[in-house]
Amino acid sequence: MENFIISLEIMGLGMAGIFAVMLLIMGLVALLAKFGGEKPEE
Amino acid sequence: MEFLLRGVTAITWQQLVMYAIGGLLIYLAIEKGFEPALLMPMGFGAILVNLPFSGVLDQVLQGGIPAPGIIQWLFQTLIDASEALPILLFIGIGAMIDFGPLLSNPKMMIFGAAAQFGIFFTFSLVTLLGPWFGFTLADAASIGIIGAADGPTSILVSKIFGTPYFGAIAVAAYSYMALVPIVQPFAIRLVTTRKERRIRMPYHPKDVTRRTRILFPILVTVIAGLVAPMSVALVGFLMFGNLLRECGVLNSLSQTAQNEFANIITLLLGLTISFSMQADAFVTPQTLVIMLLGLAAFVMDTVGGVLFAKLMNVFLPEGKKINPMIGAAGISAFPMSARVVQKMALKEDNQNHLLMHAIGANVSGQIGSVIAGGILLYLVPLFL
Repeated sequence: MENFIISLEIMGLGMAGIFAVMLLIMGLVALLAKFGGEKPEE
Repeated sequence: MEFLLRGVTAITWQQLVMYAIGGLLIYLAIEKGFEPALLMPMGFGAILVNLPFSGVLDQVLQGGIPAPGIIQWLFQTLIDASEALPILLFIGIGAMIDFGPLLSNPKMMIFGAAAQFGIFFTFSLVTLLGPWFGFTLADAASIGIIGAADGPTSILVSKIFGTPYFGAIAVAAYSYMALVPIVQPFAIRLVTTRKERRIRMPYHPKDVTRRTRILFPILVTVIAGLVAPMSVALVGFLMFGNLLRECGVLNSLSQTAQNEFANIITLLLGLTISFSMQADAFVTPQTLVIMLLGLAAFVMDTVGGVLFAKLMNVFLPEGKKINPMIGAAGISAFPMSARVVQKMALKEDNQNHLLMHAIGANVSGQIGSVIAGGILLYLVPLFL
């Protein structure tokens, strides 16, 4: 049971961590799209 | 002449089971086309390592003469000592991926996170089953990572955690990746209505500059590395492969990484993994349980992605709704998952083309799965 409680804690931290990283990358891509510069690729 | 029968008389029933499993993997690879590049070498390797006194494993001959075995050497050198094979394979995978559909529609990135839910769900499930089957917390994390739907990540994480169930985990990871076209439609139908599956999503791609394509792999590596340092080996090699592809000045290296390099690694990886399929360690009740848990991981990945899309739809205005099936494509099994979503969408409405959205979510799943692996490698040891 102790491991189960730990696993729930890791689940919370893990999912929050993945969402944080992906949102950060998403924001970055949005910034790159805005200030990525030069002509678009064909 | 009795020495000729020494091998035959030494066969155990567990080894016979492994010949059957090896034969099944070869059958699935050749007849059904399920991940043939990996299942075929793994199936053949399973037979090789389970022949009594097999020369592919280290043996000590009469008189104490050591005879090194090639598969044991490959395993100890390329996986056990360095995890080189799964990590190097990421260069090839990165060189194969076109992040264009994701860069032109970055909101798909979120599904690469949501569809990792199966990893953590299965992790928790294994900890509940732990007392009955003897699974430790590290075993639970290793089994949960099957839900990454990403063979090299599963191999790397389970190897680092030193689980004795490494062989079963590798077989489960690759088998279910091959079964994505069967598992995902079932899971998607469980949690969607026909009306939801018919939601149309017009595709208006934005232009992606060359500079964006080049900066993307570098910045992703830095961000992932700072937030989840243990993911650097995985994300870094994946993104290095992608930079080879996108930089535009290393086309021959990019082609080599995508073809010859990836093929050689894949070929060696399948044979090398078979070292962990020796009968005494593989033919156990735990292997059967791990195969079932792997299925649960893939189903819950799909459910997690779909439910997250449905949650987003609660806040999105009419006309901007997301087809929840797109969430299911957030797993790492590329491009099978995107194809499954496209096929299901066309089945419900023959004018509903979701492929490009699904590919965006699917390539983000490649990033999400390696980050999930890195996060597990960082978090679990804190509690051991």
